[in-house]
Amino acid sequence: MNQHDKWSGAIGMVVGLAFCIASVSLGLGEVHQPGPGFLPFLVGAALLFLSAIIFFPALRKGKMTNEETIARGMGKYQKGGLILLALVFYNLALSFLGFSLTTFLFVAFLMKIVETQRWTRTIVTALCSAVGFYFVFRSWLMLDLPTGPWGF
Amino acid sequence: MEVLQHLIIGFRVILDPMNLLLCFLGCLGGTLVGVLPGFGPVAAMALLLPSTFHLSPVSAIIMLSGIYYGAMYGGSTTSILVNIPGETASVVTCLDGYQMARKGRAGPALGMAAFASFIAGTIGVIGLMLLAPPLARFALQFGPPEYFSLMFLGLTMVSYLTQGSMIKAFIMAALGLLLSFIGTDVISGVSRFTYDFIELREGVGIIPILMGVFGVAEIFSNAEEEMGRKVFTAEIKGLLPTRKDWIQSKWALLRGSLIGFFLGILPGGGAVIASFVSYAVEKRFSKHPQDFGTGIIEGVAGPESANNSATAGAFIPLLTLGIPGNAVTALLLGAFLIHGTQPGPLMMERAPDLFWGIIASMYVGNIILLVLNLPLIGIWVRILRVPYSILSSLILMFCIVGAYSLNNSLWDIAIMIFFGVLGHVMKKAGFEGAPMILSLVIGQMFENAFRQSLLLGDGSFLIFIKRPISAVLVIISVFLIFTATFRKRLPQTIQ
Repeated sequence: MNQHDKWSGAIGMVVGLAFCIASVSLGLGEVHQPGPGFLPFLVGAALLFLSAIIFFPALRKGKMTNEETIARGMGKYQKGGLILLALVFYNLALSFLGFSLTTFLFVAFLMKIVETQRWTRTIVTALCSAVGFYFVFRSWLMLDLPTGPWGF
Repeated sequence: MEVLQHLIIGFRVILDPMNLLLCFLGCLGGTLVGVLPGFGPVAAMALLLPSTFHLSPVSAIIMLSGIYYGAMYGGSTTSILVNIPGETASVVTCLDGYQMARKGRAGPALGMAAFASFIAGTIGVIGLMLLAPPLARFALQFGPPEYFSLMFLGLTMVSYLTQGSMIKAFIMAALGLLLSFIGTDVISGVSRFTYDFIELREGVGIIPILMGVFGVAEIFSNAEEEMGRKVFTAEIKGLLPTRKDWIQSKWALLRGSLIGFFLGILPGGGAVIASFVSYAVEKRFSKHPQDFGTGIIEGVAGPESANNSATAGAFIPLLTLGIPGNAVTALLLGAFLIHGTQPGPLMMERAPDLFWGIIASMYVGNIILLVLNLPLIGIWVRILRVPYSILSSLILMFCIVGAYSLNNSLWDIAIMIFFGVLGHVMKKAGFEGAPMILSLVIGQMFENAFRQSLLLGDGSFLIFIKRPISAVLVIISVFLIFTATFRKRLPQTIQ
């Protein structure tokens, strides 16, 4: 937990400080006429202070045997990384490929590469998701989903 | 009989065929997301929010509320049969529920969970019906300082009741407030912290963040921990608990309902904590505490009643003060605002059909859910047998569509992905999402109340302690912060 606390504390302090500085340039105003930066400054300062409470004790106690847990854990991040990749792809491809094709590719990738399923199950799930989501959300719930150059 | 007249107004609303259908759909959807592990009521409500745009406010809220309390019914099914909580408020149900299933008593466990949910849900609605009107009248005296102190108390309470470190919870609350400041400042019209991003002018969307923190992050967590999911395959028979079961659980039911209801009212309380506390209390009161965890019916009845009455309790601050106490009611507040209504002390006067319609829908919803969860239990068991690989892709798709469809914007999907990663990493470092979501939602109200109070008080912070109601709220907050250092943490007490 110490390693976590050290990093989260440090990041929290940086974020808090950044908000404080940005709030000053927005204008703090005065106490009887608080400006747009007034409360953000206070909350930023609170974040800075609270993160420091987490950060400094962790720094002092730090240096636990974290290397081994990190080394052992590398493999399990692979799956999460692939899911992240798929999500980013979805976001980038949606406006070019349209909803149905992107969904098909996305689900197929998750099923085949991330979950290593058989091809038949992969194709069937991907196809059903692409068609099913299209019908439920576009035709039935009437949401505005992007279409590709081929109209679906 | 003022209450009776009001109830008639409410039932007139809910017995409209369209509203009845939506209530049913909400309950059905709620049970479904309750059953599915890794996809909770918050994400489901956020997903369905855009599809309620063309409905009337009352229909929209009726459906969304149905998802909320429906999920509490469905969550127990997964806990009992798979030993994985269908959603977080059913974590404790695993302890004795799954053991009962292993002893071949899955039927009575499921049955008791459904009956406990029904009884407690109904007790909760009665409490809500009786307590909300006087509270709303009291809240009419509130000015900006009282609202500010109340919201401050809410944030303190959420952090106090969190299961991890209180400092970390406070950090999350501060982060949520800072996120809520991003966008155009309503009072001065200045763009704050938006830099060159036009998308940020309107603020960071709450829905994409919710989808990220409660949906996508969950998928990431599951990807790291391979969980063994073994559905209890044996035929489930005899759903009705025996006479002995009833005698054993009657006090657990009653205590669970009361604990749940009152903890539900507290900001930051809600169903999760209520179920934990109920289990701990039952163990304390029991003549045979050593049997807890071996599959005894009180261990199912108590927490299952607590998490249901807590949902009713959680509606009280939302409907009477307009302030949400947890992530789900925060989302409901968002739904109210989108539909152009502001819940709060005046709602009962101005929109009685809305207020009483919601209450009446809960009575009806509880009956619908009892039917959905007893005779139709087989359907839900079958859904549990769908492989997780398929479920997880579907859940991700739901999150994407939910984040996108509110504004039809790819930016919102990007925000969702970002907060999915962030939420996952933060959870691993011991930071919980709930305080951030709550402060993000109330951030604007919080700041407005703060600035108006300072104007009223002529630039003095003393206004928060000069006014009696506000002073009491401030004192409670300070007291909580002070005692937090010396308290025992919740998870330790249930061990």
